[in-house]
Amino acid sequence: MRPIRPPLLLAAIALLLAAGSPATRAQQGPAEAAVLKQRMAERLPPLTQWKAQGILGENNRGLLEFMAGAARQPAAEKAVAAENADRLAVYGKIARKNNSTAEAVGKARAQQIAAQAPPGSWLQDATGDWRQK
Amino acid sequence: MKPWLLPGLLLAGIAAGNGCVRVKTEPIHITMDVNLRIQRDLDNFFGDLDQAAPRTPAPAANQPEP
Repeated sequence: MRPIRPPLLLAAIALLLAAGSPATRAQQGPAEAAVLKQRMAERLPPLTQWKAQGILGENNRGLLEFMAGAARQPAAEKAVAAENADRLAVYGKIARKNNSTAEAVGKARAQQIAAQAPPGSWLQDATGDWRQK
Repeated sequence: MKPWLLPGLLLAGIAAGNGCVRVKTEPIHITMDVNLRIQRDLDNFFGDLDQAAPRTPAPAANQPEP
């Protein structure tokens, strides 16, 4: 086995330490949030359209759901799954930061969504009933 | 001295020295603080997206899933 040169070994150790440092982790947080937000912004026009058509509703956990009888286009299914996964990631991050749970954050977000939703939107209330705003 | 003064003072003393008041109020304050921080963090993340979302009314259409 070839001996490893000390400068190379030191550089590798420094790189590993830097990758795990709090400063690096702090930089990853905002970058990850920016990526999530960018993806959500790209999905916003079609999701808004499907919500306006009554195909999608907002449940009381801060997630999107298909309404009964709505046509489930593959593109919509894919977008809803991706959107809900990203929302859960955001809720999880906020929950960890505040020593709370993703469920609690999702419920708080559902209240915000309900307050801002345009008339005609399908919303699930706290008791689980669906109502059109 | 008025007859109600002594019992009144006694009750006031007991109430002032009662530690239960603090035990009951602290968790409420903590919960409110966490909820406010969650609301703020949600606003920070979703504020731009909520502003960008169109506010066109949705038509009456499908019924929700059971």
